[in-house]
Amino acid sequence: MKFSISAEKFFNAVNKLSYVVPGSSHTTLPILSNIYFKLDSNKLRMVSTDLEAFITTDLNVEGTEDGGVAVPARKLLELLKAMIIKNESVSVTEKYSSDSYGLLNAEGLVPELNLYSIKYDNAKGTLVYRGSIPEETFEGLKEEFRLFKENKGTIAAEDLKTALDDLEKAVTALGKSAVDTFKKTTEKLKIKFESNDKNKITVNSKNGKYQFFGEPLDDYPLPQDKTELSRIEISGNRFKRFIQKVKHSVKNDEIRRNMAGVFIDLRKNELRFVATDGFRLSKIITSEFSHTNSKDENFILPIKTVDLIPKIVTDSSLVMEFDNMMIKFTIDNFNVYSKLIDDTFPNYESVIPKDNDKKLLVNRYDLLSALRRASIFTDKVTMKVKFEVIGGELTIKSDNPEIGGEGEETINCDFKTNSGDEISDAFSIAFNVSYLVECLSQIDTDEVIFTFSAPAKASILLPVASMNEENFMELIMPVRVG
Amino acid sequence: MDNKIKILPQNLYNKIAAGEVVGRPEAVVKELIENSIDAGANEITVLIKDAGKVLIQVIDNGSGMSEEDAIVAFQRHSTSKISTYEDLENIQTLGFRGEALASIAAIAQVELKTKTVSDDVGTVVKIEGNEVIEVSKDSLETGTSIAVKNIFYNTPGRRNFLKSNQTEFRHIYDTFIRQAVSNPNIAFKFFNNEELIFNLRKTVLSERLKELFGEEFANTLIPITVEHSVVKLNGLVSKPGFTKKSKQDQFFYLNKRFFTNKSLNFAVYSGYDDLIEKGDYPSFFLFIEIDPKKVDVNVHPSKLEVKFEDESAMFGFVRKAIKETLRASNITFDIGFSNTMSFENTPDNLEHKKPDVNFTPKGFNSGFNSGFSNSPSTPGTSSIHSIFEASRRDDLDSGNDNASGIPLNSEEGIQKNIFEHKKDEDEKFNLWQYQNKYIMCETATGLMIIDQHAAHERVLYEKALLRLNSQSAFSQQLLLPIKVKLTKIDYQLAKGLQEEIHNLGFALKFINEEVVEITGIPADVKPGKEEKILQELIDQYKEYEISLNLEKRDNLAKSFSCRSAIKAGERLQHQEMFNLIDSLFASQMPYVCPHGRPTVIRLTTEELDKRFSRS
Repeated sequence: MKFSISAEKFFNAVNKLSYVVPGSSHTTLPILSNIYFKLDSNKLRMVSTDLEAFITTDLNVEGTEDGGVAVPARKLLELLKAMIIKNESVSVTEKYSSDSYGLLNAEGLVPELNLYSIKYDNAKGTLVYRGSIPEETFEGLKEEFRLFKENKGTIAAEDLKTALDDLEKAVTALGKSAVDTFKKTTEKLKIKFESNDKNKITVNSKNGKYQFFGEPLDDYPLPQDKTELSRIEISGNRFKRFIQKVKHSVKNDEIRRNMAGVFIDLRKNELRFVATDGFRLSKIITSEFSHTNSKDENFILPIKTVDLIPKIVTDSSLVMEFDNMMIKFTIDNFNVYSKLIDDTFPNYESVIPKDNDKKLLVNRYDLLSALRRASIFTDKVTMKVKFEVIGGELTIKSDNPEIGGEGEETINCDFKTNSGDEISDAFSIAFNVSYLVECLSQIDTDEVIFTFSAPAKASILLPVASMNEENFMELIMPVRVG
Repeated sequence: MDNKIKILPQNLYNKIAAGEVVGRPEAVVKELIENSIDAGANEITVLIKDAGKVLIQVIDNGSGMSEEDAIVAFQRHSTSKISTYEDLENIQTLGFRGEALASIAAIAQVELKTKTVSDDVGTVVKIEGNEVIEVSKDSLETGTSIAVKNIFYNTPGRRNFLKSNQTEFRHIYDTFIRQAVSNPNIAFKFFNNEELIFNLRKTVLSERLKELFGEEFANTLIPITVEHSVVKLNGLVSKPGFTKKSKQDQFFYLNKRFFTNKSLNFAVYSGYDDLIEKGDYPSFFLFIEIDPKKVDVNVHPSKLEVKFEDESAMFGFVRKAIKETLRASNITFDIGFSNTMSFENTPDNLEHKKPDVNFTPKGFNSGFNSGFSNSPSTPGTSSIHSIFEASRRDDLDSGNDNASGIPLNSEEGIQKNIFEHKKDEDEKFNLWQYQNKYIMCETATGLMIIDQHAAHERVLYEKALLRLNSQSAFSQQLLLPIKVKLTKIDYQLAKGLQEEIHNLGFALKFINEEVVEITGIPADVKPGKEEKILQELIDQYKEYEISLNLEKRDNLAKSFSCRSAIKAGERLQHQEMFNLIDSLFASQMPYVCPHGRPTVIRLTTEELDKRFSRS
């Protein structure tokens, strides 16, 4: 087998395929630590699997000799990474006002940009990025900004807020140009890959020549393509976002398998993503998708696949084809095959209360930051915090009898009945603080709505209505006190 | 037509009945010793040959029998022990069924020699297969001697069923031990094939145990005496940390009668609670005295089983008694050299030498501080004292030097600072760390060696458990209630235990006769299978009727304490050691770690003096 390909394209594919490759000590089937390579004229088929999921892709290459080999995945990935990082780095700049930067800096509000190889050039008034594989870097930065904003809460001063928003925009633009530039430079770097009939692999680049051994392809397991599958198409970004919103509620153990994944429920022209671990439940709904048949269908996507798909998703659309046993995702030139959980998801609709008559409206940042402080004083085992609402005040109490500490903080809120009447009676309810923080973090709006009925009954968290086109909701079961 | 049903001839009936009473030679030994005890003997000699297959002979100095009694004694249901039904209700003697001798006589060749005090000459009766062969007179000592020869000679089927000599001997040996334990006031001799196995003097229980099981073992026991309006429990039980892997040395006596009862054995075990490791069993020698009316010992001819009027009350009583005794006693572990020492024990001085468990200064239990500050050094330890004093200085010096970097000459100042108000007490004892593993501590009567890890574990464990239980009422509510199907009985039980289950952190809904819905689980312990945990709790209650506790929670506390405790190899400063010992002795059970291993071992000055041949 002989072919040549751009380093960027090759690295990108090997990188994605590696997500399912089990570590060599985690499999009894050593062949799985390899990636399947098979060249048919100009088409290179690559497959990787841990037997639960398969990733396949077809790359266009300049092929000179057909053939196949199973290539040690980690070794190849390391090699490609080292080749790219060592030789190819980009340097891009983006304008950002030095006044704004100074303003943020003075308030200690600049995120840790330098950790992401971004520096600020005061003289030129530009953000400077120098590095390689910018895609990963800027993906991480997105999350950094999100957390940063959340931690700092609402910044009251308009000018600071604008400066921070502008900074985020500038960094995003910087990222885009870095990725584009990087693509262009690495595309130029050609890699020649060949293997002989003794499975000896040779990788040639302008740096030099590396040789190592692969395995014969014979025993490599391949996914089975099926016909007569149902088909759903949805935007890749939307899918990724929805998964992100609900997956923290997935039950993370093997005991109740029917909850160990995200339930994707297609009914009445709505596509619902639901996850629960029996203590909380997250649900989000969209109608922005297309599907082949009109009947209601559903499946449970195992958590491993739930974690995998967002890493492969791109801006383009995502196609899911499934029956009741398996699912096949198509994302650009990648396919992911996964088993589905062969079990019945709990009847989630019946447990979502409809009679929660008390409504608490509170600033999400204020609440989150209060909870972060309170959690320092919760008992580390039960993680319990108590809400006490009376009139326009929400008091958050935590105590830890072990260290003898306690915390109490009061923030403003709006507490009314569903019909909008003031509630004069005090109401108190306790929660596991880590559940609360996880759920609150997935709500995008500045304010959050809680609905309650009784201290031992489920309470619901919602983004403010006007912003909640996707019907996102979360449900948390309280902790009974005493 | 002939009638088919016949009354069995007497001797055939006796042979059949013998099967129940005399299953193996061991039963003969038991019956004969019991007869001797009932006859008021205080010296009993047991001789066996070929594991009792050839000869079993029991000689006593009891009241003996007249010639008439001696003959009648071999008839079934003849007994001197009871005569009316009321007597049966109120059995004080070991035997009472009147079956033993008749049964034995049915299957062996028996020679009875007996004489009462008032008779001048004794009687000799020889019986084979229930037939009196010979009755004669002889000059005998007062008492009774029964020789049982060639057991099962006339029932070859049964004889073939006898096991190997070792097995049969083992059974006889066990029986002998059981009798010897419960009758320390009787002198016993035990010969096997003319070899003297035991020569036990009249003594008290604790000394009897030393003779039977060795001094070392006997020293690992602590005495227990608990009295209640209707029942009394006394005896000896294992110190925690000296429990065994087998249930071998577990002896229960009811009104001096050995018996076995699984539930009571478990009561003892559960009394140890966290003082015992899983898979270990305490040894115990426990005597229950109870009004005979409250029990039925007449369950089976072997009388090994007893029935209590209120079985669960007995369980509770025993468990509580053990628990409280263990918690109340000072069970520090002594370094025993007894295996290398030999003492000439005479019964006289043995009387005073009860097991040495309370030799630590009074007040020690009430807390470390008071125990030490109140006990001045005895003159005998003064020389050692000064040696230890010196070594402490050295140790402290180097410690300060290493850890805090403060110059040596400021030591006085540091001492003041660290100890402030405790200074006075502090000067009274020496602490130093040995191999960064053990804390050595001088006490008024010797040297205390503390395992720093085990000690810290105990302290943390009690704290963790306290905390967990204080949090226990918090119940994480479930979004999806879990339906559990129970049997009707379990359902009722669960309903009865509703409050306790609630207090553990569960929330239950009782749906119908058999279905329970779990709507909340303990907030701290996330059980995997909630329904399984519930079932376990109910089973636990059903079996032992003890208060419910979550094993998971206990294990959580154990693993937490084990993880968090300081390890061997960690250097401790004087103040740290002081605090550790202080909180160790403030804990409920300072002497063992949560896994049942000792935390403290002591080496007494007395012991040291002995080792150095000082007197």
